Order: sequence, then structure tokens, then C-alpha cells
Amino acid sequence: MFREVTAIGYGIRLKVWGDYACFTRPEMKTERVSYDVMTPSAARGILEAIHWKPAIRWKIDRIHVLNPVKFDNIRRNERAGKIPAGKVKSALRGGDVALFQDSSQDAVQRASLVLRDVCYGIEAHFELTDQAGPEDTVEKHYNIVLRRIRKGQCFSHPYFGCREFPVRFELVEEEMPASCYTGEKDLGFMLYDIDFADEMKAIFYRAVMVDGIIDVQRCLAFGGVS
Amino acid sequence: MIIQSLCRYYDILVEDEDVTISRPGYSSGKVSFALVLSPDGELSYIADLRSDDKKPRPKSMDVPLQEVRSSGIAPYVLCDNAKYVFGVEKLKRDKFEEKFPNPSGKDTSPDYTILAGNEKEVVLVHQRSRDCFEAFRERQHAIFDALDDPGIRALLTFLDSWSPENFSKHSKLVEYMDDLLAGGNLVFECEGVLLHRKPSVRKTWERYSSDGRGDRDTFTAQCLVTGEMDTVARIHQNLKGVAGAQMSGASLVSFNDDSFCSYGKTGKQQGLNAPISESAMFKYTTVLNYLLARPDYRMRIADTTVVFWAETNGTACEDLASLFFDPREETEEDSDAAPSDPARVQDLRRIELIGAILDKVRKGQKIHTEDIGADPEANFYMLGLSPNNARLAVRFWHVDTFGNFIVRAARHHLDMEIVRDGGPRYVSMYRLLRETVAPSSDNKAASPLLGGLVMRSILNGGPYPVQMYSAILNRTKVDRSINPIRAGFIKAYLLRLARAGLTNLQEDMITVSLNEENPSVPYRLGRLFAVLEKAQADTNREMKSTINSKYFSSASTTPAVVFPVLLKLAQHHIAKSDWGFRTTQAIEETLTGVDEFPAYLSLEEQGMFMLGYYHQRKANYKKKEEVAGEVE
Repeated sequence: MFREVTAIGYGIRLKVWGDYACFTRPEMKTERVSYDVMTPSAARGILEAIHWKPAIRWKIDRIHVLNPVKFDNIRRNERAGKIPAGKVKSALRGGDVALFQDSSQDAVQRASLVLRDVCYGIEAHFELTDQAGPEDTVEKHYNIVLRRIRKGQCFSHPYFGCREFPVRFELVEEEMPASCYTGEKDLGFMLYDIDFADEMKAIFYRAVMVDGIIDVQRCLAFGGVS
Repeated sequence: MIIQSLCRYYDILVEDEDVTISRPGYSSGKVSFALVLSPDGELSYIADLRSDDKKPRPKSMDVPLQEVRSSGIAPYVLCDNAKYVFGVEKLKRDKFEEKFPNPSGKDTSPDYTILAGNEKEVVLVHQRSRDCFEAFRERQHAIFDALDDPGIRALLTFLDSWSPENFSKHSKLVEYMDDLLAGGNLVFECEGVLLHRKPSVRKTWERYSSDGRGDRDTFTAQCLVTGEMDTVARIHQNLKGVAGAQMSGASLVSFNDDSFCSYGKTGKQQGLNAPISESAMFKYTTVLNYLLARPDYRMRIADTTVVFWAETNGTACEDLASLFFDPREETEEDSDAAPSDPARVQDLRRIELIGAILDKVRKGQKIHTEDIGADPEANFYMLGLSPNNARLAVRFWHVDTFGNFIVRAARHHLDMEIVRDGGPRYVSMYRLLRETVAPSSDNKAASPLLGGLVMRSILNGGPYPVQMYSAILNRTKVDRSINPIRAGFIKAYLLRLARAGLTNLQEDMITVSLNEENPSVPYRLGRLFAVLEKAQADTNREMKSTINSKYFSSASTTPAVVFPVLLKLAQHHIAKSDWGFRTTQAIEETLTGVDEFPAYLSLEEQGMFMLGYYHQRKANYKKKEEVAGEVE
């Protein structure tokens, strides 16, 4: 996504959990169906909600699936339309426009197949990007992250795929808790991330879970990425 | 995984020679008539291909791929409806008048020609139908001009010389006019062969369809099913056969509103929201349509249509699975749920098969291939779809080995087992869900969420959903009657709760029939209620309001309020009855261990109450029969 990588940071380990999660499969995003486990981009989103600067870029190394995969159905009333970007721009310029979506005709009911009682361990590190200035050192950002996680601080509240499903998080300072899964399980192709540099193209990777752990970088290396 | 698994199953079915599933470039079309052409392009005869049922049904056959047609003009290949083939359309009278406001009075020639009509319908040729015909003719020319085949030449000659106005002049066409224009597909036949089945025609079509896409806007991206770079399907084939969805079909993958699209992938790029290659799209839609069209692979749970398949050849797994969910055991009161089946003997044999499998599961033995006639290690999939306007939502998705699935399904039936007189031994999902609906209700559909929830508990062997349990309890209270299905479910619910350790009930206290040793207070109160009810019934045979009709609901929720009243009432019945001492004995017996009447019963305790009531009632009747037997 960013071209030049100058330094690799220390790894951090985070335990995240919550009541609901929906890591929507792109093919079933209208009537949402979640992936079985968290996608790397969702994990990145959680970390970015805690600490992110243009100088750093998060990379997910491993995802530990700690709780069994459980599904649940919900139905919600949502909007069919979006607020057009043009309206937002004109509002920024001081135009008198209504910036909300609230017409009752615009409501659609959408069903979702979501995950229940999720708990994951995220192992990740960050890399400094070419936007890092002389004052951006790996140690500095690493300590900021540690301090922020320990204090439970975040820029925006992290969520599991949908804003309605908040994440609770804590730093794993000792051993990562054991997963409930053993053996190898192929989870098929999953979304890895969006390539924002290349027309926002989706990148997929073949997720394989071994003893409850998805080694993201290893899977990425082997499974058909464009 | 859903689409991946469907694609894998398509690959299995395509290899299987006993299975007729469309190959790439083809789809299953519903054909009503074959138009027989002479070699020089004359329409000589019309063959009716429909079934000879009371309501004729069109014949399903493999035809060149028919893509989704919305509002634009999009002709199919070698198989289309009369509007495209002849350029003639039938409209309802009111629709016609709405479309062509009559310019009566002016003498300008209208831009339509009426061929026939009555007060209800009008058969006409107008600009749009003419355009459809022209487009159809163009398309056949574009594909088959280079092919030197007598049949195709006859077709092209026919199309070139055809004029839509001729429709009413053709004696054969007029004879079948109504049926032809009803919207069914028409195919062409020449010299005894259907044109779209000719090897040379097929070859030309396949070549055209596989590389003839260059003229359209296409996008290449990584396919999320195969992981390979491929052409992305922009619009997915419709899926037909999901109950409650639109007749023309609905989509599983679609992005028809702005809020469904991400990262600016709207309009022509909408397929890029979920890049699925053309070939994967073809495979999953074809196989899903195939499954949805077959009753043996499909069942209905409330508003959810469920398809299931095992990753093997043959249909042994699917047959057994459908039997487990819908044991077609006929009973006298259940004439509407199960249509009378001529193969009853076979059904009985299958019920025996279930019995044998249940026995094995009860004893904890392993299920072997010979028990179920299929490989227990095969992957087994279940997909529950429910309609939401023009879209389909996935209700649940289950993957397991077939052996595990059978064990889980058997466990469900074992947990539901309860003492009964008559009625089906194994309850189908449909009947179970119907117990949550008021008998007087016009709409017999259970709540849309329940079906999926119950199904999920069955498939993963966990506790049943509390929503279903409280729905059954409520119905029992409101109807003041409990039948084997309700009692069975209450028992199964409590049993699974106890097994999961989520309640302080003991698993061995929850039994199939009356357990006089059970010390549970709610259970004993339930039994007591049945005893008191019987005491009343023994005394007064014909009564309008009984203690059941007046007190059942409150007795099962707030015993401390009701039971003192009931016991006092019972003294009157006992005094009147010749068998009074027996009732007194029975009341004493059931009340052993009950120190005081609880003020309030929890949801679980209410279930125990109803179970006790049901068991005692069943036992009362049984005893009566036994007593009668001794007298004789």
C-alpha cells in the first residue's frame, strides 16, 4: 500500500473479545454473512483505532481463534441509500443541505448471519513508512501503543466488523491463552485487505488455521495472491 | 465457503453420468412448444411439449444459457418466448389501454396493429415487440451466420421472411395462439432434431459464448472463490425455487442499492464488490438451482428453504437426511401435512431404518457405512435460505461429516421421545414449528427466526433456543392443552439444558414417561394438577368450565395462589365420589416432599410442571385401561 518501508517495529499481542461480530463476506454483504473468523483487515482496523499515525503501518502476523465459532441470526432495519459525497462537500463549503438519511421510504430490512461470543488474540507489528520523520522512531511508537492499550485508550472505539459490535481489548503480557481448536482447518479464501493504492482492489488469501492459529503472513505467502 | 462448496459439488455432479446438470454455456429452461420448420424455412407444424396434467406444465430442458433479463431487450439463443420469436405480444386489456391511450377521433395511424382481442386481452404487434423480434433475428444471425447447417439455414430463412403481422394469418399459430403467447419458451426443430441439440450448433454456440464476451465491458480481478485472476461476473444468475421469493428468481449475490456497494464500486463495476469469476458464478448458480428444483434435496422450515447435499455421488445421503427431517409417517389426524404416498411400504421400511439408527445412537455405538448406506465420512452441507424481496438471505450454514450429522439428528429425535398414544413417533420440523402458532391463526407460519435457531441447535447438538421453549410454554398455557409434540419438546429442552449444566435440574429426572420417584416440586405440582383435574372429571362428567380451563395457566406460574383453592375444591369432589379415598391417597402420594407451594415458578420449573402434568395424565389413562382389562 505504501511503497517504502524503513524499519520494522516490535511485535505486540492483543486480546480482543465481544458479544457479536460480523466480518462480512464480500459476496454476501447485502444479506450479510460473516466469515468464520476475523479477517486481517478487521484486526488492522482494531489496532488503528487504538493507535495510528501516517508514519506507521500495521501488519498482522497471526490471529488466534480463542472461542469456538458460533453463529446467530439477526435482522435490522437499515438505509438503502447513502448521503452523496457531493452533499457533504457542499455542506463543508457552508451550503445549506440536509445531511441525514431518514426518509421512511428508504428503509430496507436486512438479515445478517453474525458471530456470537468471539475472542481473538492478535499478534501484529508495525512498520515505519516513508512518511516517518526524524522524530518518529520505532521505540517511540511502540511505547505509545503499549501505554495506550494498557490504559484502554483509543482514537475511536474499535469494533468487530460493524460499528454496533464493540471490541473490548487488553494487552497480552504473558502467554497467549490457549485456543479451543486443535488440528488443521482450511477456511477457504478470505479477504486479506484492500489495496488502496491500486483502485481499491480487494486482495484475498487462503486462510488455514493450525491449532487455532492463523499465520497470516505464511498463508499470504502461499495462497494465490495477485 | 458456501460458494466454494457449491462449486465443488457442481464439479462432482458434472462428472456423474446419471445426473443431468447444465454444462457451461447452458441453463435449464422451461420449454412449452417446439416449432417445426421445413428445410426451406416454412413453419410447418407446432409440437406441444408440455405435460398432459390437468394444468399442463412446460418441459425442462438444457438450452443455451439464458441470462437475467430485466427491462432491456435481450434475446436468447434458439429458445425464447413468442414476443422475441414472433414479435407478437399479448396484453391485458387495461394494461393495453394504459400503454396506448386511444387517440380516437384523430385519423393518424396508430403505431400498433391489433391481431386479435376480446374484452380481457389484446394480441398485438407494436414497436417494442417488433424491436424484440428484430433483436432476436440479429442475435441468431450474429452467432450462426458462419455455420453451414440445414436446420440453422431453415431457421434464418424463416426469421428473414417472417413479419410479425403474419402471425394471425398462420392457421397453426392461431390454433395455439393463447398458449404460445402465455410466455413459455419456444424451441426450433428441423428434420426431427431440435436445433439447439445438434452437435455442430452446440459447438458453434460454445465457442461463441466462451470467447464472444469481448464486446462487453469486462473487469478482471482475483476471484474470491478460486483465488485466480479471471473475468468478473457482473450480474449473477437468478436462483429459483426458494419459497416466498419472486417467481422469476432471486439473487444471493447482488448489490442493488447504493449502501450495498463499497469503495465506489457502483454502476457497471458493481460485480467488483465481490469479485466472482464468470465460471464460478455459473457453477454455483447452476448447482443451487439444481438442488432447489429437487424435492429430495430440499425442505422447508418456516420461511426458510433448506437445501442439503453430501459431497458424494448418488443420493443415499440426501434421501436419509430428508427422512430425518420429514419422517413421513402417516397418522389419522395429519392428512394435510403429509400427502398420501403410494409407496407406503417403503416409508415404513424407512421408519424402521430410523429406528435402527436411533438404537445405535442411544447405545453410543458408531455409525458404519452399512447402517446408513452411505459413507459417514463424506462432507455434508446444509444451507438455509430465506427470501427478502429480490434477494436471498442465508439463514444458516452447516458443514459436518455425514456420520456426525446423522448422530446429531438422531439425538434430537431421542431427546424428543415421550410417552404418547397415537400420533407420529418422529416429529418433522414442520410439525414442531407449527406448535408455536395459534391454532386459530390464519397465518400458519412460525416466527421466521425460530426455524433457523432450532435447526442450528439440532445440528450442533447444543441446547434448544429459549425463544422456542417459551413459545411452546405460552401456547400450552393459552391453549390449556399439551400434546405429545409440546411435551416432547419441553422434555428435550430441559434435557439438553441439564446436559449442558445450565440448570440445577438432574438429567435423569427428565424421563420419557411418569417417574413417581421424581422429587422435583414443580413436577409433583404438575402431577397434582392432573390428579385434581381427574378428581373433578370423575365427579362431574359434563362441565363447561373445569379447573383446567380456569387455573392451568396460573397453576403453572404461581402455585401458591392457586393450589390451596384447588385442594379445597377437591374436597367437594372427593366427598361426592365413590372413589374419593383413592383421590385422597393420590394427592397425598404426589405431595410427599412438597413442604410448601412455591410462590412463583421459573421458566424451567414451568416446563417441569407441564411435563409432570402430561406424564400424570398419560398415566391416569393408562391405569384406567389396565383396570378395565383386569375386570374383564
